[in-house]
Amino acid sequence: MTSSSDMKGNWEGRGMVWVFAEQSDGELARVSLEILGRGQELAKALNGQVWAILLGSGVTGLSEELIYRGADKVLLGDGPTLGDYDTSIYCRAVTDAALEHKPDILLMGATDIGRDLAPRVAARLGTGLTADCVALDIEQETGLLLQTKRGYSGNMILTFVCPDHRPQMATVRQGVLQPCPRDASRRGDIVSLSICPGQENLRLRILKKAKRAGQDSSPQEARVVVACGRGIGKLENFRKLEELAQSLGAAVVATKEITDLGWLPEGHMVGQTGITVKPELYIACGISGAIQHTSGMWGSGIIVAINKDPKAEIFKIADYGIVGDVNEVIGALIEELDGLKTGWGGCT
Amino acid sequence: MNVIVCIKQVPVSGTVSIDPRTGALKRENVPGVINPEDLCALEEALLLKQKHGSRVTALSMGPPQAEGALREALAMGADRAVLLCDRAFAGSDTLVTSYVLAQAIRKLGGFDLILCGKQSADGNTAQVGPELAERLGLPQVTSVQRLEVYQERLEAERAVESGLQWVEARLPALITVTRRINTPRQPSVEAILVACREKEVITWKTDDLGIDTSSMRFLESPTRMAAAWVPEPRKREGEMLAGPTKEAVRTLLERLRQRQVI
Amino acid sequence: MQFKLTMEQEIIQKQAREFAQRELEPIAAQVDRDGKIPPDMTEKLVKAGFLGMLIPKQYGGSEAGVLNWVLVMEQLSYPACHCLEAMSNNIVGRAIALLGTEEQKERYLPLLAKGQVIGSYAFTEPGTGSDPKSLVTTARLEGDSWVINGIKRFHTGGHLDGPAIIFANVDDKTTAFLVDKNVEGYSCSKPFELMVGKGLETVDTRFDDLRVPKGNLFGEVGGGFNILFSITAEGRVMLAASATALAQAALDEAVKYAKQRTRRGVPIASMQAIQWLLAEMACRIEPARWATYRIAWLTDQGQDTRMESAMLKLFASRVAKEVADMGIQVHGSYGLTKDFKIERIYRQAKMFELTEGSSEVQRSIAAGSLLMR
Repeated sequence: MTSSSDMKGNWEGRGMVWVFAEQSDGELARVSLEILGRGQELAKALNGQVWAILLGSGVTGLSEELIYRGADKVLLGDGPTLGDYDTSIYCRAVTDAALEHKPDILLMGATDIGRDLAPRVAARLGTGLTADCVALDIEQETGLLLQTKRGYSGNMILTFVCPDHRPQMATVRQGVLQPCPRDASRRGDIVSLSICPGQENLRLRILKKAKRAGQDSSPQEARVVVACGRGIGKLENFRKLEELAQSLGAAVVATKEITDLGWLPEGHMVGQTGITVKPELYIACGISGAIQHTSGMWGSGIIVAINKDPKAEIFKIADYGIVGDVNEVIGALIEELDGLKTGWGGCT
Repeated sequence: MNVIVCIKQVPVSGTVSIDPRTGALKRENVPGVINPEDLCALEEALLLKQKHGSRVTALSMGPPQAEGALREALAMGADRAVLLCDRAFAGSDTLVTSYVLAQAIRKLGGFDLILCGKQSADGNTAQVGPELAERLGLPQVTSVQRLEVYQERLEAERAVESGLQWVEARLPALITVTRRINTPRQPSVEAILVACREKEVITWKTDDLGIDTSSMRFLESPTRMAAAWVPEPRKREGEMLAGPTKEAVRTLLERLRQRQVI
Repeated sequence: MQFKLTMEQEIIQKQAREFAQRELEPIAAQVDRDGKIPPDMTEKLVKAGFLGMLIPKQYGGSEAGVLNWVLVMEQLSYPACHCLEAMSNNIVGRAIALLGTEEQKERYLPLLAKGQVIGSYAFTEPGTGSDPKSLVTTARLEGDSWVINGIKRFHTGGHLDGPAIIFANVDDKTTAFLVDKNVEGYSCSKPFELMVGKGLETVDTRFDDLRVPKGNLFGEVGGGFNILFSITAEGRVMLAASATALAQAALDEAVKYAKQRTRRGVPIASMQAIQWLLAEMACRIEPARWATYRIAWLTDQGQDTRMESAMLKLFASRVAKEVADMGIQVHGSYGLTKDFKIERIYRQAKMFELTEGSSEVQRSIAAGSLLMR
């Protein structure tokens, strides 16, 4: 295993930012485009270029899309052995390319593949890796990549640097960065990579796959939670609320009055005598905000409250409040969210 | 069958703070627990011991107080416990940690399976497992929530973004597990007393791992922490969105998108 | 002098805390309301090894020592869930181990350690409270048996199968006996309905010409007080640990509430009146805890802790009561509702000033020892 620090002095390619472009079923992963967008900005700050590295089978057509989305060059590995992700082949391909071209920075999405591949690449190259970054910046004086992430169960923000080893590696989750707008007039080179066969003993054989049925996340693990209170009124309105939750990929919870009606099992009751949740987003629909309920959710990241009573207690702990008919608001939310979905334009 | 479990002692949630004088993290004398996912990895190893009679070694790199985590592992049923403890290991990032663990595992001798928790509750990188697998040239299966081990292969159920996956890998292999895989057993008081009073925790330093002055550079972490701060407890903004429903809803969604929650 | 728990103590404490969180916390409110303790609770306590901590290894216990046991009791008491009757096996077991005959040890200790029987002890009678001299229960030797007549009141666990340590007067000499329950002549009343909730079951037990084999004389005739002192010394330290835990629970609940409850847009935790209440609560708990640990440690060293444990119980029981009261005050009227844990903590806290020797008795004991010097 070569340590990139051995080549510290020889590592040129300053200002070269690489983005590993993930794809599946003929579509580029949204997170890769987001990272590409930021990568372009980082490269600019370093007076350099951003390259995308794309591996797969029958994916040559996607190279152009990467250029339209900001890549200055695409390193393309297209062959039957790259069809399904394979740790060994992909790792070898990326590290060989990195050793040849010596990028300054190498970024990947924090996806299943990214979490599998990035550390193996980092270990193979003997360099540092910061996972799940919430921000990437260039330090002016040094040109180093500032890799910022949350640590200690989210209670702290930490910034890391990798001063002497190259490439500086980081992974970022989807939804953190923004992609560039698509510019079909952009041009760039597409370079073929030579792909080595992988190691047999490292191969995983996939026996079976199953798609996730729906959002079955337990309320306490969900990132987004929609909560139902007495203000909802009838059961048919509750169904609409469930629809809203589905379009947000959210878990549904309720106050005690609602679970007493049997609309949701007791395990979904948030409050003093129920469960406590701490999602990134909590949407309280028709909930007054009595402490028996709020004690179960006040630690949520962002709280949105919808209630027809402007004096409702819930507004005192909410980040955003809408005073109005909760069912009307839910209907409008569903409509707007459907509209947002179709606006993405051709990438996952 | 020889199973090695890598465990890490992490601070009890909410107890790590920043030293106002130095701006560095205060990690000394902070109560520690076995990282929850590592505990599940250990439990999985002990279940294999019950089923196949395998030998379980618990391995940890940490400060002297990490001995407590290893004693707990012994109380739960591990056959052997090894602590890698040396001043030179302090402040290591995942690359160095995987290097030290790899050295220790090579010294421990033959193994069939290495089990780790997917990620630690403090660092949250999920990197040590895969980096260790790379160094030892092993196939890796990450995010495992069910495991079946056979003579020379294993079958694992993984949680992936799109759903579930069942994979097969050849032994020896490295597995990282999530908390869904099992519920760790509770060691009895008797077992704890025996583990603390009668059993041995083997401690290895750089010399024991064959890390001499020429290889000291492998203990230099590529990444280092440049800054750490506690985010201000965010005061609720309390913005009331006025206007007709459609408008208010549009503003809301805009705000939420800006703050990256949807 | 190290004011730190050892690695072993920390691990044991941690396991007890996790047990409490996992097994007791979820059922605590329910048990308080209907007294339905899960039938496998004793089994779980046995599996965790909590029942044999004060019983010697050769009889199936773990000999963990009083300090380790106190650490466990503190954690198990935190959820304020009265389902720990089986833990009295440790107190009864220790008494038998120290003062019983070999035959008694072999007969009872393994069963106590494995939770197959539940041990209890009863001194109080309808006419007699903490005053030992006025026992009315009598025992006389008739051939191969002792015949016991009398009534014991507030006999906790008196209805559960296992050995009960009964104090009776033999010709005016206070004597202890090991009585196997559920034999002819032994009967129990229905449990009292207590302020502390349904989980704690305490009954009247009646002995009508109850025959007890000669070998069940516990200690010597007239040696009842020795046995009593042994039991109460451990009992006091255990209760101090439980009292400390309840006080801690009250403080934690109050802090949590104060941070969440808002008045005029700000959490009440920002108000001085609340802050001062919380400070008063916290400053009582620290000394109660460390005094408990120290006296437990002294007991493990073999020292006579009669006076220290009396002072400790006097102090810790008052801490529990005062801190619970302040906790309700922080909660305001919500503290009166059964939605909040503090309500049940308050009801349970008063018990410590009365059970196993009221505070008045503790004062007398402490004063007596002081003035004897």
